[in-house]
Amino acid sequence: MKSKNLWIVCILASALCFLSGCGGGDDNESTGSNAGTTGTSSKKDFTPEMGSVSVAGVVQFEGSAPARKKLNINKDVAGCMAEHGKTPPLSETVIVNDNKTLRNVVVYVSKGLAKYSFKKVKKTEPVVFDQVGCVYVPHVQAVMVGQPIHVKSSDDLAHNVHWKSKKNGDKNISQSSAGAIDKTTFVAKREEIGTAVFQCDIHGWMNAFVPVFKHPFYATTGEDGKFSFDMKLPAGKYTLTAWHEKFGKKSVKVEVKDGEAKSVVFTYSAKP
Amino acid sequence: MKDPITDRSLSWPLAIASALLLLSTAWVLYDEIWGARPWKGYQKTFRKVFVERLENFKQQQVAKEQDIRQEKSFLEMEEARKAAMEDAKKSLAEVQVQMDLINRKNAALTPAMQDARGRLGEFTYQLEKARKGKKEGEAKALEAKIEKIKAKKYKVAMPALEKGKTETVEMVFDEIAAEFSSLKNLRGDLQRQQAALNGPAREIQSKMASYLQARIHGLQPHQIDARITELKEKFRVGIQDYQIHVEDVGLVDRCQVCHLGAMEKVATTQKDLFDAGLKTSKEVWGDPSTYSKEKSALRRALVSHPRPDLLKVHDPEKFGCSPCHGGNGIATTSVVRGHGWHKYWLYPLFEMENAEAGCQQCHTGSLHLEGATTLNVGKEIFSERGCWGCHRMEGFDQEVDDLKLIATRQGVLTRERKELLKSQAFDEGMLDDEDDLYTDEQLDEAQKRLDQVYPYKLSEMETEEIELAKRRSSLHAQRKRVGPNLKDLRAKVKPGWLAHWIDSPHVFRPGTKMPSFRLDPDQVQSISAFLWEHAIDPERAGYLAALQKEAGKHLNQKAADAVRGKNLFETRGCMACHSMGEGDSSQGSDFAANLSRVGEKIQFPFLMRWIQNPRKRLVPSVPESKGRDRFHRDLYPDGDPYDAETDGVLLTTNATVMPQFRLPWDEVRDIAGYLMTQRGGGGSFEEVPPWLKAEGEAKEKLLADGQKWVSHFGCAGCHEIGGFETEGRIGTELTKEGSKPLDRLDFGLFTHQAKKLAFSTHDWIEPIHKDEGNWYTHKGFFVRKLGWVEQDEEGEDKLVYGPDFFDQGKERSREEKLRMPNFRLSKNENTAVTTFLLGSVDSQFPPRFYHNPEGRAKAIEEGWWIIKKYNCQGCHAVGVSDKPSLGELPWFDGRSAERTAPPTLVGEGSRVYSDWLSGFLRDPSMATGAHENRNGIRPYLAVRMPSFHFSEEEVGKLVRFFEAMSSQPTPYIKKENVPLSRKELALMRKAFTDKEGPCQKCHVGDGMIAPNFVHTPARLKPSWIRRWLLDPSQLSPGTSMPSGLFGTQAPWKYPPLMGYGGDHVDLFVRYLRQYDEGEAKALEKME
Repeated sequence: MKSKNLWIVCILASALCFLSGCGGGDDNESTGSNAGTTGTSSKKDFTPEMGSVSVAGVVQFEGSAPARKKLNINKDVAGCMAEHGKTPPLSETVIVNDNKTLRNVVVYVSKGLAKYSFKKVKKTEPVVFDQVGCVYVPHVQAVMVGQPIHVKSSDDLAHNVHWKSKKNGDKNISQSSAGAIDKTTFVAKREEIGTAVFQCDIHGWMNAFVPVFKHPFYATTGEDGKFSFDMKLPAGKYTLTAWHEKFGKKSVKVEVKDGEAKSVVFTYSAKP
Repeated sequence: MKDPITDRSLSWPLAIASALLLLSTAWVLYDEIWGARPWKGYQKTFRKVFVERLENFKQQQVAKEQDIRQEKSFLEMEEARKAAMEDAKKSLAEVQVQMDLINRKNAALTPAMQDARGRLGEFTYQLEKARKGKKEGEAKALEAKIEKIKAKKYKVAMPALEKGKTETVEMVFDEIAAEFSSLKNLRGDLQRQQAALNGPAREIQSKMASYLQARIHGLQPHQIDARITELKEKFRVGIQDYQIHVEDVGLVDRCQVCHLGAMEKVATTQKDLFDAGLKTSKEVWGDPSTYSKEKSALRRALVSHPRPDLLKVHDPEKFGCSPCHGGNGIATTSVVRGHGWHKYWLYPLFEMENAEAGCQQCHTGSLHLEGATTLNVGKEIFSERGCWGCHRMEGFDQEVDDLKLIATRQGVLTRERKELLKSQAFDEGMLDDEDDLYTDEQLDEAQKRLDQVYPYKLSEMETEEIELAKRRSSLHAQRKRVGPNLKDLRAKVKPGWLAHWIDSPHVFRPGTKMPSFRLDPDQVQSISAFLWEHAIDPERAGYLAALQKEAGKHLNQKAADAVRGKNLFETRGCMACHSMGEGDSSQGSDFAANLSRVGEKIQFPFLMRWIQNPRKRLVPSVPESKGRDRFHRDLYPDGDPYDAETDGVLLTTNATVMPQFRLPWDEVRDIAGYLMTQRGGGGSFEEVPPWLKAEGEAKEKLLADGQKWVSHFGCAGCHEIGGFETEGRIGTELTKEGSKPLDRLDFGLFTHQAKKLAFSTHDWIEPIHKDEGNWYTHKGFFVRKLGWVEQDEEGEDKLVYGPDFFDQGKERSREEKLRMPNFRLSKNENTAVTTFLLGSVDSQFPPRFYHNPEGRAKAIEEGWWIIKKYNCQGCHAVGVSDKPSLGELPWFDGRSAERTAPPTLVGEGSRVYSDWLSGFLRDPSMATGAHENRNGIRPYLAVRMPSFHFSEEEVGKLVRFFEAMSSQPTPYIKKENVPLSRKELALMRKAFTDKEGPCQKCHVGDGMIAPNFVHTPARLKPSWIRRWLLDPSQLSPGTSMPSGLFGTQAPWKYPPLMGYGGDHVDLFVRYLRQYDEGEAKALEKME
């Protein structure tokens, strides 16, 4: 009897050992994941005083400039042409300025800003797109996340304002007379450049690009092909990227020191 | 010398024996308590872990609820509720005052009322007793007493409105009773008033409750609490509480004895049980690095069923577990036994990757089963790769089965007709009889039969025969083969290419549907020679001349504009089925051939013919006779005439699913010209192949050999081949393959190896599925037989197993070797087909288990076959989550009509009338005469809805499919339209031509980018038009039609209709329903 009890005791004991064996373990995993979460929340709030480097430059164009095609205005001809006189407006897909520079190129910082959060430099001034003579003005205009976007019409005819984007929803409304304005487009997320656009389905040639950035370091080239960021960058290593609707992206890596005035030149050519 | 009596002792043997006895007792105990009941530990673990999991989840739910309570709309509701309560407060207080007064009055009246009623009751009783006893005197006295009581005046201190004040009133009994009942009525009124006043606030409150419920997915905190208490207090370790008994099947499933979380309402994954930071987690599971196999198995076992939605449809209490999953549901002694991974159990548990095989057992008829993604892929491969060309599988290539049924029925009819004619002749003979063999009655009967019975019966038979014949030729036209018609070979390809292709198709075109046969060079040569010889001779058929006549000057490769051709190829919709580009740079869909190298092999004129109308045959065919078209008189002047009686059906259309795009010849020429430039491999195949040079006896031999091999390899299963029109299938039927006894599957010389472990002493411990060395199972066979392609270290394709695997080690002649070709499936495709085959079983369930759809479900199931057959999903979204391959092409981004993808068909049944849809499907150009070069409904799109030349049966199935998908009532009865009054019409015309009304801009005229309104009355259902006008982006995301033109209710805000008091949207709908060409002209005049 005794030994039988002993057996049972043994079995129980081993079972206990087995169970207690399960109880071990350490904290590695939980601390690991904690470290991860603190990592993401430790972003520094960027303020304009932190920046000291001004970045500016120019986007050159090599080779012969492709001729700008006349837009095929085949609807509401009278209304659309009222603004343009007799010659129809030209396509804005590729505009090479007289000084051999490329217009409507968006230059922005694509890498090097991950450690900052830009909550404190929100832009509240709305960007405005106007529809003039059945053309979006301007053709390209970048915004910062959260910045208000207004779309108005100066044409006394019906447009539909069709907002298409990958991350910031779709919307399609009608504006039927001059003076109409829409303030409901809202961008809450960064977009892959080129994916957020306004277009008018009634007048199929009308479109405008709206690059969306999380930070304020972007600029669009104008009639002189020059660009400069409105805000100064802190010293550090960055990748600057230029984007053009037709010719795509080009990037350069730069390293800037405190107080420096950095000048960057991008060069596009007709044949890649 | 020792004394044998005193010295001999049995102590040792006894000690040893008792030790052994002890040991075995202990073992028995261990086994009884623990060893054979491994689930005990699981159950205890489950209880511990799951209680915490639930507590954890409850916290999440509570937090979620709090968040929601802070949401703006919720706070608004709360405000509204408070406001409503505030509104009602004053009135409620007034009502309450009235109520109080009534209560007080009631209380004041009660004593008097009770007193009077008590007395009256007593005396009335006595009076009745007295009357019964005929005691007149007594009765009279009592009557007097009653009268006295009734006349007695009670003094009641009647309360006034002001509290505490009373007014003394004198009342008799009748007055008191009347007052009482009037008070009762008053109280009822007041209560109703209270309810009405509380109504708004209550309504908001219930809205808030449902708002919460809709946003907190899953159980509410109090429900979770109840489950926790249940687990803590009522959880019993045992079997009884966790088994399912399905009585009518005699099924007992004890799966949940271990899989305790399976039916828990709180969805729980491994992660929830382990990584969620539970306290018990560490205690129970330990450090992940020292994880034992058992523990990870246990963790997998305790989760909730990953598809609770499926459990809702298949209630486990009615279906059990093992009917779907396989396994031995009653066994609980070990993991291996429970899962049926034992050589004596016929239905082993389907492994996770093949789980959907369980669906197939009962859902045999559906090609597309919602949610069964792996199984659906398996069936699609089975269908698209043409497995059914060699293997019969119920449901696939249905036309052949239907044709057989028709043939049988036709045979029966012929016999019956013969018999009928015989008895008719006999009856006629009776009437002619001059020997008076029959009585007058008999003759009358015969006359009657001749007059009334035979003619009707014969006419009935004739009707049926006509219908059968029609269906027969329609089935032939609708039957498609997987591979192209090889009678076209001589017109279509260069002879130099043929052998190259037959030898190894995947080399010329990676990813092709054509499998690779393992052929010797001489086989390739003879097959090529035979196919060439038995193809139509294009010269003798005069096909070039005919084509020249049709295409005229466009039949000119040099004139082709390849750049325009490329653009057309990309925008007309060719790439919804075809792909272009090799390897990673390939774009388009792989439903049909990749055309990157098509220019190397094809002949230009044929390509023109094919693109213009692939359905047009070079020569008509007689599919029910062998090789007859080669001797057809239409084709060869010296040929036989076609004889419907002996030759059977005459087929003038090609058996291809490729539709006709109704392209003009110049576009055809440019596309063909572009395709001719596609020479990705750089081959030219211009040389004359040796088999073509052979003559005389050598040629005879080649042809004889070729015929043998074409027949041997069953080429006619997928291709139309001259002389092989009526060839049957060469493979085994697979309809019940998953339940074929294992010993009837040919494991070749591998049988022993496959069962190796099954014969070892450990066979009852080792799972026969899991171990690589042990694969004597259906899965083990299918996976190896199908084989798959892997990339080796250098990125080269490597075949793993394959159909010839079971030939290994055998010395066999070429004729005896396994014939099945290599399909070069990927590993996932292999799994999908294996799953399909595993589920194709002869299941023994009672009828109620099977999915026998009727009505709507049946229409959907049948429709999917057609949708998949013609690849509708290449262009259109048919299900909500569909991503048509055409729309995925980067140039279809909706920037213009040229760049707009075809419309979604989600909700098509609710959009268009079924009779319009059937007409459109028959001819999408909606032209009145011949097929025209345009889209019928969206002429502005570059992409073209082609003509599929569906059979009537297919049109019917498609229309019913869309109606069913949109849950439309059948039959759908068109509602009558209320015509517009003159005033309304004027208003609408103004609205349409007004500059504020943008409708005309897109829907009418030259720059049209939306369907023309003239189609609306016949096409669109009014309820859909209304929904569309209100929010088009909801019905078709990304549409060009703007939203927000109308409000959903008054005040209406459509500017041009300002001043019209009615429903603006409704007016639009009514107007559009009467819009016609005349109206369009009227509008034009106004502008």
